[in-house]
Amino acid sequence: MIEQEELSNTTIKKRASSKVMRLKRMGSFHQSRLSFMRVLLRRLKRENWHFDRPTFDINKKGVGVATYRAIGPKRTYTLVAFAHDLPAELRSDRVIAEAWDATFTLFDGTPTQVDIDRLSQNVPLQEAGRISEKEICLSRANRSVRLFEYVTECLSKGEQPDISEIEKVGYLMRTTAVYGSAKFGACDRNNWAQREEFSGSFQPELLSVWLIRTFAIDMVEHMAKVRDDKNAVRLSPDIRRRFGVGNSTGLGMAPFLINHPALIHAWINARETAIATVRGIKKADRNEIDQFKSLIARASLNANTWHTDHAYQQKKIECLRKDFIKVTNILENNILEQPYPWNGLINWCEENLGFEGQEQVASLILEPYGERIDDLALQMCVDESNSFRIQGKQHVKSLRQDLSNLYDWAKAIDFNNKKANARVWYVSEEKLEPRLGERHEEPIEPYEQPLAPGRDVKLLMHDLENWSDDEVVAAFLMKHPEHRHIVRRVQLVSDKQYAEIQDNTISSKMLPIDLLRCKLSFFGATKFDPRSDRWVRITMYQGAPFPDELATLDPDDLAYPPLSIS
Amino acid sequence: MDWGMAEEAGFAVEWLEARNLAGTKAMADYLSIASLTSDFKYDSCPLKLGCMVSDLNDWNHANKAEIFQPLLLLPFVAALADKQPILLSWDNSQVCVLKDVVYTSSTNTHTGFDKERLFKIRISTEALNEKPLEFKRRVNKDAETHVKTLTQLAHKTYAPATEASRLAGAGAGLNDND
Repeated sequence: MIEQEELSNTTIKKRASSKVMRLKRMGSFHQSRLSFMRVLLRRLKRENWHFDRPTFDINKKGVGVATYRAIGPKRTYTLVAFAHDLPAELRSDRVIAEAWDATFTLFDGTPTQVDIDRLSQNVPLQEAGRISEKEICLSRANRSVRLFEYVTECLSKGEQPDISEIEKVGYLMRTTAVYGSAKFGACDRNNWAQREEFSGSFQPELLSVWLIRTFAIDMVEHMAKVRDDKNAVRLSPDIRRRFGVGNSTGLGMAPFLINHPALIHAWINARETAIATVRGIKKADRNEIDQFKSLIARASLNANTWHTDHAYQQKKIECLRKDFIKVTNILENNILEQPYPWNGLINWCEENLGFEGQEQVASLILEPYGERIDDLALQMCVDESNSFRIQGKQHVKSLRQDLSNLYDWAKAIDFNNKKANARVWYVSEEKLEPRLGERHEEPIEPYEQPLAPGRDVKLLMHDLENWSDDEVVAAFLMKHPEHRHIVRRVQLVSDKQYAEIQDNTISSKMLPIDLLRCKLSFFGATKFDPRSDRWVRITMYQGAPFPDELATLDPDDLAYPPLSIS
Repeated sequence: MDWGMAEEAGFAVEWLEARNLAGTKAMADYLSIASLTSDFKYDSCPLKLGCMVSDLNDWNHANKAEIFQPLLLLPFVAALADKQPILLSWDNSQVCVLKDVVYTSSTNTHTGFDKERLFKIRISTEALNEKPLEFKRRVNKDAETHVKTLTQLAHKTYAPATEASRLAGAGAGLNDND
């Protein structure tokens, strides 16, 4: 009996929200087994989805249409891709651009020619067009001009491109927006949210991106063949896998994290539960230790090929590279041979590494334990309508207690201080996109969006001061309808420890790229490359299998670069 | 309108339209006169009354109230119709709701849209011998003008662009040729 007890795992508490939900740490999150791209590919593989390309009607100028089907056990989805000949002066990263190298939609089923004709009149226009309930996503991409040209040239001469040239960029095309849920006439999320294959978060969008990756490869191989039909070769599989899909993401994504507290809790809670589960494992076996050591080496290669010109991220990457050396050294000291090895390692990391390193290791310890933690991905979605209604019978005393428990972090912030109150989140009339402005320098305060929970909670607390404990919230809100939004939020987050970012989202020091990084890490993005404090380029699916190799390769094993070809 | 109330308004329109009821028309018409009712603070406001009903989980105090656009109250009353039907009526109109499903007929809901008229409503726990309305996924074509009105109102929350904000606010680069 004693022996059995000694072998048992223990329960380690999840990390405290006061530790996790800080922007500096969230801005250092890394992809993990629970990232949505990996969840998607695991499902497609497990369910034996197959893939084909019914149409590839692209001319010598690289203009035309191609379709890519993903055929599952119950349903089929088709990426309809339109390729365009784009003059350089029209190529823009910004979401507000009006022309692109390629435009896409994810069609629900197999499109007929009539569907494709209809889509050809609308998808290339993006926001200015109109799609229908048969379409689930709308997106577009631009070529990475230099790399696309380089690879075309290499292939046309019968040569494979150089890995180091590929790694400088990481992708042939980058998307500048992937729209879902009812945007521009597309199908409403409610109409597909119950489909098993889309359980989790952002699965149709990420299916689109994965198929776009194949289209980008097909395009470069096609253009190489156009250049020299006789000598052109295709990319070899190992080299081909080094191409991901790029993405430029700006402020549009940042308010999402604040606007969907229940969902953010579900994401972070799943990852924290996974981390705590692995930390509770009493003993790591030899295979698990070897796998982890190999992953540390592979992830450090990833850090070595991670390029950015942004000083903030450069510093973090330098720190991460040093952290990898420290971790490699401590692993030589047999830290994983001790009882509760992963707990010991995480504790050591907290004392010795920066946030980048800590979060990288936290993601990596999950890798050997897919069987124990992968099902947590099923919890990473939420029906937000369930928590919409305000519980008006709650007593003021109870609301006050919730405020005190949940928003202790906000107490220290003095929102009368100009720097603490420096920013305004608003939506621009011109482009209907979220923007961040300077409260004390621009006339934008009247348009402020409710994206500063810390400040709003303090205003609420102030107005609650004169209310007695036994009055109800409904009565308070009748008198103070201006607090209806924040009261709904407080009630919603009261039982969700990771729902609220515990930092000032309107401070002069706030970096939107921290918000973007957090969200994109849950997507599964890598190679975060901030281009300013408010937009970032990333790479998606780098290393992942292509549709024609999913059946034979393990997508989880490919999430970090192989040691051999670098 | 405060953000919290705007969220309720959005919820109400979506709830009604999903059940084939003229939510966009009722809301567009109501908001066009809402300034007359001083920013949703009077008891004649269907949204304010709706919030009270929903918050307190009790419709009794709303019974016999006089409100504009009574249809807008239905989504809030519906929150209380989990176990027993609730019948909302005004003039010659009657709408019953049970477990999120609405029972009525078009002849039963044709009144109530008179923009500047207050309607005395009655609420009870009776059922209505009508077929359930089918759920639908899209707003009807004939609602487009009302959608346009609501969109125009939404635009009041968007900040007009300045040259500085165009460059600084989003922060993205202008060129993508690398």
